[in-house]
Amino acid sequence: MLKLLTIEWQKIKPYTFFWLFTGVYFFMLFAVFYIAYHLMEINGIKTSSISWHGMTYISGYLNFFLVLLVILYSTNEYQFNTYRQNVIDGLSRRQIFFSKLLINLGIAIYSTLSLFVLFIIFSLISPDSLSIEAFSNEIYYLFYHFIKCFCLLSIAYFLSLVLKKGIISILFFVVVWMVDVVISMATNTTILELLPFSSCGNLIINPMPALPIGYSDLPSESNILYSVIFYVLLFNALSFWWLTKKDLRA
Amino acid sequence: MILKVNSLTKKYGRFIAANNISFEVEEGQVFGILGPNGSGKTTTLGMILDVTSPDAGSYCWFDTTPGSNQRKHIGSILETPNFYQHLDAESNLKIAALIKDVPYSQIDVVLQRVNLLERKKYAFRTFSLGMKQRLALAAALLGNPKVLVLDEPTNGLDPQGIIEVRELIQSLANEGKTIIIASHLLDEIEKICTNVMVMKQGNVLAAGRVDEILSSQFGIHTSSKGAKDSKLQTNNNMEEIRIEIAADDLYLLELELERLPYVVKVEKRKETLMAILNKNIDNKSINQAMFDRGIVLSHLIKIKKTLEQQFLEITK
Repeated sequence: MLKLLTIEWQKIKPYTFFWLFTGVYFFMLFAVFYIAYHLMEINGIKTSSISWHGMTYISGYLNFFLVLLVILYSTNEYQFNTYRQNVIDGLSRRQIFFSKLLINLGIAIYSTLSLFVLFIIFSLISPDSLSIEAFSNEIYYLFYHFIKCFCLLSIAYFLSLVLKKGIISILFFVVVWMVDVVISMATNTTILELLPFSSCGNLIINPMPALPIGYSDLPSESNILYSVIFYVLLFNALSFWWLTKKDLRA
Repeated sequence: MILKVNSLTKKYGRFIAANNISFEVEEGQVFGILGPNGSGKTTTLGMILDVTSPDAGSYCWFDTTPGSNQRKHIGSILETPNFYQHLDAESNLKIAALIKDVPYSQIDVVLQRVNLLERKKYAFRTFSLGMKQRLALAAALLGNPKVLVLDEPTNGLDPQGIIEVRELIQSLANEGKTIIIASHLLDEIEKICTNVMVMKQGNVLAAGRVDEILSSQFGIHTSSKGAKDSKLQTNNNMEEIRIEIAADDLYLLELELERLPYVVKVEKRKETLMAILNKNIDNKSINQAMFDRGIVLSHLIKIKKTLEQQFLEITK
């Protein structure tokens, strides 16, 4: 495993695009926190009332940025034919899968840690001191954020393996996402709220919806969580199957 | 035994890219896979390197069950040089070295061998095709593997580059390395290989020692080692002897030639005639026959079949 990480590190280290993307992601996350605090201040809301639920919900919109990163990083390997070369040089297809699984995990952890660090920083500099209660209360939303992010990345990775071209994978991801959300909203059936993207979206629902619609028939929170975990396992299993059984060609 | 391939088959839908391919490569051989573009060479190499999944058949490296560790001892180039565009030559080789469990200290050694040492800090995307091809060879040489699998190693190189790469391959062969090389260039195979397998549309047409295939003017021995199917495969197209012939009066010569029983066909060239015979008649008899008919020949050459012609004929 250490070897796989060293190999990936060699690929990423001089990859400016990768660092640019992760850097910009952190900056955007920072901006989200800054705007949230600023809005609370000018509206006279105590900044100490900021919650994990609220922040993980808003930050969720930035997950798409990480999806782009995963798709481009993975499809590059197809375009350069380097998945193939890595196997020819002596990696097993299994190892190829695990090295990318580690990268996806790493990105999800990076996102979660960034959220955590920014939450702490903004809590410390805010004029209203943050109580231990507000901090520890609902901290499981951080885990929700992590598993939701990892689930989206796993879907993105599978699509990139099947479609092989960056731009097509991105388009397809967006289309499937929209179709998924429209189906579950239009039918308003509880079971269809458990489609992959809907599950991810419903795991952390909007804490302060402008229009109180759409949330009446949601499955229970634990069922949504199980469903997201199920999709994590499913899409990684599919990626594993695809990588070990199919031809490696661009 | 270095490699044993048993009835490998690969289909893409209804198209059969490789059909029932079997061959064996012994230690020290330079084994050529010859065929026009699209004949299944790369598909076959892809299967034995585990990047293409076969529909049927099996293969076996070094007499053991296939596994990724074996490939660390096989230096391979498949199709095009495949490297990370944003990395320099050295970083690209570092990744290959990490995968193959080879120390970084070997990178300079292999770069030196392909004359790219002074370019090691340049990004791969700035390389010319020839340099990319040589870098791919350098990567294949990492870890000093016993076996090299080279797919069209001189593809896209200029004449100077072709000579350099061939010399490199020749010197590797002289070191006793086993080399499996795919090419659509006949003189490449003729110059480098000890054994050859000819492919067409996914099928093996002929296999054997290069000199055997060359010397067999009237047919091709199949699988000299296998002994399963060593009967002489005769092909009517193969029984052609060509002579280039000329005299002062080409018109008269053509008429007289066509009357000879062993002449199948006469074709006009610019200042000579090309006659196709169905029997191996010696030059003296032809000369005598023409002389008896009052024609003095100014030119008579029997054209030996080159591997190129044989190849074109069997893959027609």
